[in-house]
Amino acid sequence: MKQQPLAERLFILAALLFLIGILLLTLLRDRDNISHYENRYLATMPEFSTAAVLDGSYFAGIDEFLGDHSAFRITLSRLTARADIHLLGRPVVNNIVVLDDLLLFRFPAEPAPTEEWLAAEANARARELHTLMQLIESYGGHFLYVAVPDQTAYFWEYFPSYINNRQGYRPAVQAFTEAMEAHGVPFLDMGEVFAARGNPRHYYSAVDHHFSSAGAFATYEAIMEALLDQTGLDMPFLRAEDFIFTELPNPYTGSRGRMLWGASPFRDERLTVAEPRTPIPFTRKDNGWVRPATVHDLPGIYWEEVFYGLYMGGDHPLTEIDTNRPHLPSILVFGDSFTNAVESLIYVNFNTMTSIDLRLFDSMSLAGFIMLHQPDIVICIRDYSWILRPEGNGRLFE
Amino acid sequence: MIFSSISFLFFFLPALLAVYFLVPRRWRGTRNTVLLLFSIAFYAWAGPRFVPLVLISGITSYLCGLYASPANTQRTRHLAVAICCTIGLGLLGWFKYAGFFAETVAQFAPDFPIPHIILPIGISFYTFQSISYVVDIYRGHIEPQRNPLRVMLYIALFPQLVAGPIVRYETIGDALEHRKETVADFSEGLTRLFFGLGKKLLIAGPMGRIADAIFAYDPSLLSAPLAWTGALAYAMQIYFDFSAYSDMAIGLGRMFGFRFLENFNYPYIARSITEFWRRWHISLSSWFRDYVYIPLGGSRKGPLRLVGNLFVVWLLTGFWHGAAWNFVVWGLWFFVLLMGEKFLWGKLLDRLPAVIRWVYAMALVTLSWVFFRAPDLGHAMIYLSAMFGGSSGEFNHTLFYLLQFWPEWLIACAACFPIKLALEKALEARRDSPTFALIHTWAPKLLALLLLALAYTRLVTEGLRPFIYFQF
Repeated sequence: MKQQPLAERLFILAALLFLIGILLLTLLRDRDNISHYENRYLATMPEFSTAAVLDGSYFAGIDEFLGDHSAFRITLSRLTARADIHLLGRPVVNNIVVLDDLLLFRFPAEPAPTEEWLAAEANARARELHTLMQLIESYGGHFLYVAVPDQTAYFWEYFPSYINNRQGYRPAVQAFTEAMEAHGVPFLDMGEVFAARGNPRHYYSAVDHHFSSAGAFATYEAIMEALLDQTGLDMPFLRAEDFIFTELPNPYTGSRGRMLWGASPFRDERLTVAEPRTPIPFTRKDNGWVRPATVHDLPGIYWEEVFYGLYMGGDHPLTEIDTNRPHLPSILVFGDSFTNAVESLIYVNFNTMTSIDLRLFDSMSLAGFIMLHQPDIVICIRDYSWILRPEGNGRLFE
Repeated sequence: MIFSSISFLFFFLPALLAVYFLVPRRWRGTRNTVLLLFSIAFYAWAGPRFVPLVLISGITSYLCGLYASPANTQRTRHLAVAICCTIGLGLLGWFKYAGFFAETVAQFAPDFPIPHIILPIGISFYTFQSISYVVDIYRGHIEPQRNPLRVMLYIALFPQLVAGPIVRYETIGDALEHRKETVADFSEGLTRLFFGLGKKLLIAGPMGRIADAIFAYDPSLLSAPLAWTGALAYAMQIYFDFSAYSDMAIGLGRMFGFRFLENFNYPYIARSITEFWRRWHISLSSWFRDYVYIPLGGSRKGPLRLVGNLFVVWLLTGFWHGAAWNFVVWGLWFFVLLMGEKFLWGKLLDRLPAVIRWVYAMALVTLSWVFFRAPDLGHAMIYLSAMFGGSSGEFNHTLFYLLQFWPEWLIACAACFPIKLALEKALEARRDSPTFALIHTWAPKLLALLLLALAYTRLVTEGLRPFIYFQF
């Protein structure tokens, strides 16, 4: 019975050491501003004001700050993710569906949209695109719309039966295809192209929501073939044999792997970059500023982590590449981040390549920019989750 | 401030412990002052503008308590109770129910102004404590406290200030003056605190995530299994959330030498609704029994009056939980069931096997939580219909919620049963054996430390989730 008081004292000591230890470590640790794995800014200490104190928002801000900067947060998050994957075998960890060789995003179940709604939205988008096409054709240009599956749509069959998959995209893509056909807008559905090739597994990343280097190259080739077919231009383009492909040794965590705090169970995937065998000199401007003439933001050292943003250095409002070959046509590419990997390949076939991301570009409307610069070819690349949405890169005339 | 927050666990609590225990034990008044100031700071964390309400409640209790004592004339005593109830219930009525009543009136008179009032945290709890204090003095159950600081501390004592349990003055009145903080109590309280923390963050939190996700769906699209999963998850969430808060409150009180009464007694092992309410939120049901039901006449004035009294009690119980029709229906749901057990099927129920009685009670309690969790009565009715197959069933991801949260389901189901008590009893019986004595001494403490570490991990990886009962 004598051990009871001793046990109580030791227990109290251990508990107090834990509480005070966490307090000191939280106070004394170096603070980051950005959470790399969560891809967000961390909370800052709230500004003191009487109003903020009175309404409680000051103290709520302190709670948020302490939550973001508490001791061992990253380590414990990674350990939790590891335990969830390996020990507890949870099918979804931090909203990522962890499969044997694939990380997919888990979307909440949503009621299926009605056919009428889909048709109305698809027609509205196709009508706008048709107007844009007419604008481009008015000065002799050509327009092509490219739809690409995102990773979850591409791998929809891989989802376990009890988790909401992305088959729900199919009616939307179908409605959009029909509307584009009805409005006579040239349309390339990469989902169909990939399906005709048997949906090769390596076309999409296992750890990121984008396609892989191989998928991006297949998209590049399909676009060029569609453009030649559509425009009748005599424009030979560089094929696979004309490029040197280099697999980077750097670890590629991907957007999905990042959500697992780097605790992804597989880390073998690598990014590949392609450079033309015969170098094509060019100049590059981002938002009007000259920057190094490269389409790959390569890491400095072999162990540095790389991201999909390596292609074109990520999303920019406006990028202009000039290869100074006036005999070749010019191209304007607009769309979401799926454009980046394709742009890093497609510029080799054109005199100038302009890239616009309408989520970030606000100097003028896309239509205004096109009329000002009159590129020979305009292509839009959007993934399935965005094709019916008017915002972002669907904002054509604002 | 929330017990399961970093600011409370790692800043407020260590600071309070340091200041409080630095004051010599013989300076009881100073220790009480420290506790009171920290309690006010604890309350002010959510926004100091409501601190005056707690102070008003404390001052009202103190003054009315003095005049409600048998030393005064009957008229004065009556007046003291009336003033206390008017001020307490008046403030509660304004802050909690004015908006609801205005919205109800506005349905018939669209121009009727609807005030937008923020509910002060914990007002339902400290108002009831204040009333019980003055009424108990009036009844001669307790002596009025002459030291206003102690009354204020009774009302504002941080462990039970914002979410109960509703502590009677007779439970802690003596301790306010003469308590003795001991290592054994501190250790016991700390263990209880960490167990509560574990319950809140490791069980209630994940169960809440399931319930939140399923209740967020359009209920007309839910399959019956998914709807039941959501309702069961909420049943687990509310039990482990609220009982965790009570555990932490009781544990914190114990660390400072107070002994609060238990608020839960394994309610989900109940085999009838009557038994459930003997085990669930004991401090609230006993409050309504002593301060509403018995003053109305209880069961002493015939069966018709009994039914009327119970109707009033359950209407108020529902209304106490929230100013919305679904809470009223929730209260009346239990009124109907309790009446049924008392007058209609109670005897039949007693003859049924225990398992069937348990399933009966659990099913009815689980259904009741749908009224509690649904955003409004309409949603609740559609949800209940979905539970019995009355929806399209388009959403059917039941297996996901079972597989994804399988550890939490297992632990939650096990923790609903008094396994801990059985283990303690078994170890107690074998205390002569050195091995078992060692386990008996160390196991709860090591488990408590493990729960603290796991709870901290959950806290920093998933963030704060307020306690459900804060909203009442």
